[in-house]
Amino acid sequence: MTISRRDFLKVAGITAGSTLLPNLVVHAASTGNPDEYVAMLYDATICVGCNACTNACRQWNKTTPVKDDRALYDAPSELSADTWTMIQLYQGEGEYSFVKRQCMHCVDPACVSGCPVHALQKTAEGPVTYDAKRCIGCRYCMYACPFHIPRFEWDEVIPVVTKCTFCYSRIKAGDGPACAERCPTGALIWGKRGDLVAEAEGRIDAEPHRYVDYIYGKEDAGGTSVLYLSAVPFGKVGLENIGAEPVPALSEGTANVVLPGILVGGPIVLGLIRWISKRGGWEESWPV
Amino acid sequence: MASLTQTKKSALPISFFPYLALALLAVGLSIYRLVVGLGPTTNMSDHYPWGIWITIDLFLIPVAGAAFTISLISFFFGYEDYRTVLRPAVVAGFLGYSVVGILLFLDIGRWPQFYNILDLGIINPHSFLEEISLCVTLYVVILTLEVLPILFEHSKFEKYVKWIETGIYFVAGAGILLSTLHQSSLGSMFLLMRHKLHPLWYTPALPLLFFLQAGYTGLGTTVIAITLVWRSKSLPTNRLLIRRIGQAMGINLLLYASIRIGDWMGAGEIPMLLKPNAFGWIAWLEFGLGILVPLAILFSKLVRHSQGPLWASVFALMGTFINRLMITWVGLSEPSPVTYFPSWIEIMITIGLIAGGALVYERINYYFRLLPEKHEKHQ
Amino acid sequence: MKSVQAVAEGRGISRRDFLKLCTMMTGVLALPKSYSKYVEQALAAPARVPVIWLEFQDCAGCTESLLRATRPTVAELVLDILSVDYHETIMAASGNLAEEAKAATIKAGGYLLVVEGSIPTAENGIYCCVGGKTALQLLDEAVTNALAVVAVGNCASFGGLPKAKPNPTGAVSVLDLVKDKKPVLNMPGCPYNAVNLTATVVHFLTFGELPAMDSLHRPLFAFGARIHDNCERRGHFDAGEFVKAWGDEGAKKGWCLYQMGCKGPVTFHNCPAVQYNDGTSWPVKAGHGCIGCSEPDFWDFSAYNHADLQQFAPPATYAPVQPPTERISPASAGVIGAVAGVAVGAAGVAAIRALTKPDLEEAKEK
Repeated sequence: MTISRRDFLKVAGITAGSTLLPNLVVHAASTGNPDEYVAMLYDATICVGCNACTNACRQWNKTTPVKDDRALYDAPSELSADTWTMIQLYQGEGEYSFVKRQCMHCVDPACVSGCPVHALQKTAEGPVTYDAKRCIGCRYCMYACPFHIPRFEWDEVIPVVTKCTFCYSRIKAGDGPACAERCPTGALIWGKRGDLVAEAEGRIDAEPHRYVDYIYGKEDAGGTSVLYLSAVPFGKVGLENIGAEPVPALSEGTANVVLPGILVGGPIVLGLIRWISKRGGWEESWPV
Repeated sequence: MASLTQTKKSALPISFFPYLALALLAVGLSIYRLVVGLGPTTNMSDHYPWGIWITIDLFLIPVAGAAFTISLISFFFGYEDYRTVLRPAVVAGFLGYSVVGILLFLDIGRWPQFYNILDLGIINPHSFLEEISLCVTLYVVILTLEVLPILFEHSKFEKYVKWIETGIYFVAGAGILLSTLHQSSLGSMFLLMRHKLHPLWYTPALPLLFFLQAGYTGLGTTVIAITLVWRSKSLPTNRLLIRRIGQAMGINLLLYASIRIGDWMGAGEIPMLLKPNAFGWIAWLEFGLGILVPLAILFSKLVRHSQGPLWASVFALMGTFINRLMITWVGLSEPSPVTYFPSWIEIMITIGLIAGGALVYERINYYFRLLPEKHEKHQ
Repeated sequence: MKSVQAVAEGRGISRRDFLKLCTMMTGVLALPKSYSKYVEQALAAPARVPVIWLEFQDCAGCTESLLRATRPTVAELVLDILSVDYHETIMAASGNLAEEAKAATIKAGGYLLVVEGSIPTAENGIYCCVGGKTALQLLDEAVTNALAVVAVGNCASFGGLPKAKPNPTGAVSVLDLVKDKKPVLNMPGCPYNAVNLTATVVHFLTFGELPAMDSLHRPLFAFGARIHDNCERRGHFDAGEFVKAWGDEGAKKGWCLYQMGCKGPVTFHNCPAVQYNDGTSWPVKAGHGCIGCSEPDFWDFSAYNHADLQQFAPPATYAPVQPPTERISPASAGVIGAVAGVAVGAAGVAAIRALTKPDLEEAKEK
């Protein structure tokens, strides 16, 4: 039985059209004004490493302390499923600096772009939140994040992905994140991202000898909601130079072109190939 | 019907009981993994969230690309002689994707909610992982449809699957479309990992490279599969057919190689290949073994040799394996002294499932007809 | 003249308890335990040290501190040994009689001069006059034959409250005036801790000299460590548990008062160890941060601003920064290399064998 070309193209067109329905959204992350996002400014030159922030996070999120070898202090060595923020120390020749690590709540997050089921979402207020009900535990976000932030509950039978949530419930109630509210020295402050960028610039202008002339997170990876000021080069405290291009740019750009391209162009190309390749008489050998 | 374990006619290097044992062991370990979680059973960690299962998936998917490449060439380009290898390729595809499907299911941490990837209301269409999940799910359905006529041939269910053969264009066309989408998306998935993947493997051209690699790897799988099927039936090698597949594979390899080299040159990465460093050597190994050796065979008179394309395929598949290994594991940088090596459970599940797949292939070859009737009759 | 031990026996205190006192004094002096025998010898030897206690711009709080030594065993005994020949607040005599007693002691010499309160220097010192003489003159006279000068309280040691901005009377410390004429020991605190004075006296009796002092002339045994170093709430500082408002949950749990302005990190004193009123309590224990009363110019610290943490050396318990690594672990590389080598080798050998031997005959092509 022969299939007419017309029928084929009709069906191909319908198939392609229906698969395009889900969305024509151009970009995965919500588009808001980055200046209005709630953000944090961490000034490493003021931080004394007291770990009040780590402790506040523990209390608010009820995570489990990681005991040091004398079982006296909560001394996590890295972020984990149960440690969402921590202070690390860089010690060099005659210099040292503390650095606070947690989710950077990027303006254009790679994890949000990569998550297959929108379990990670960029909220309108700014924080990147996680919905365990949607998550399938594929761990793509862990690979996508350029800051190596999301962690996983490997020891649970049905695990979740964990990371700093910017205390989203507190933000919605008008409070600040637990860590910034607890900081005794004022090294960690919170507010609107635009205001904090201005504040950071002001600090560098006022005391240029005190800081490296760079605000980490202002433009890095397209901008993050956690901004850093430091006296030592940022590479030394583990904040690498990853460029100003948002991480999802290439991936989303490719998706915008390739996916519709194949869905629409594919049937057309196949149809064309079939039309051009007139081999004649080969239908006799079908079915095999 | 001959007894289930009879292997008299099969010259395939697969013996029944050992492979069955491995497969059953894998099934048992898989259930164990689902019950106790990933932590106790695998060596994956926060710094290595993906392990060899993803590596094997990313290797088996282009291998199973045999189905779409042969469908494309035989149905749409109309090369009649490729019909000979259609069924072996489709079965290889079907079994390959089945093993991949099981491994993927084992890999997702929150497996009770796996159906979320099919929930069109919440999915993220810009996530290549979502796109792969959807496509692979749909493609397994397509492949099942393509395999059913083989399994139900001359049985009382045959009339239910007649429509598939009638509408083969749509079925195969959908399969080719879905394959193109997800074979390239496997590469696109890594576009988000510019900061982690070694520059010799990261490139914006990853989608194209993965797609081309699926092409020649699929053709290579076809050569290996058909060679084994002919041997099992004591049939001689159809050297012309093998040569033509080899030539197609050669062109595909050449395309891949030129784009890869062009990309290395464009990104200024040639010095990385020339300075002594471990990653450079591995890139040389992958390129030499997986591209240069097959090209040397396929563009020389060895392509006419009855085993020329076969060995070219073996080496090409090795190259694909190294490529996917680098991209999913060894070439990824992590800020930690922690390293990853798969646990014995990960390894045994992988080996067992592949053994199971191979065993099923062998049994299908034994009980069902994979070659054209007139081909079998004349021999 | 009776020795301390004799007086103790007279009061019915057993030798055992007396030895315990000697050990305790040794402890307060931060001396090794073996030194308690020297303390015992000194307190057993007859000795009497005359003291002239002058008060200038003071509130008499330091005298009150002295009088709060309620343990009859230690402080009273020792101070019974000190012949306090002149003390305006507590001496029985007054007027000319008192002045004559003082003049006689000065003339005899060999006395300890204790000064409480700062000395005003503005307008020739008229802002503090006793018996018609300015404090400047009085101090000058009294220093002449003294063995040593002990400035008790922050006012005498560093100028104290009268010196706080804008210092209208031009108040200065004892050391500013005495300079190096005589050995000066500062015993700051507002008030100072009587236990520390007792221990200083014991040291003097035992060794015949004033204890080792820091650059501000404060005895090291009492002022060698910061409050922060021995504070019972230090653990809360390290754990980041801070009181944020008076009476909040943290306050009820006894958390660190750094955020409430505690100057413990910049104040040298031994309050956490010996406490006040014979071990009853001290400010942090009572729930208020240290105000730094043993430091110069502490009245000009802002009481509720944060202390400036200096000389901070991070301890080893901090996690180090982790830079990304791009490397293949030797173990993985080894195994992968081995497997690859075997696979490639086997395939290579088989391929070469298959492809180099003569091929099968060409089958009839369709």
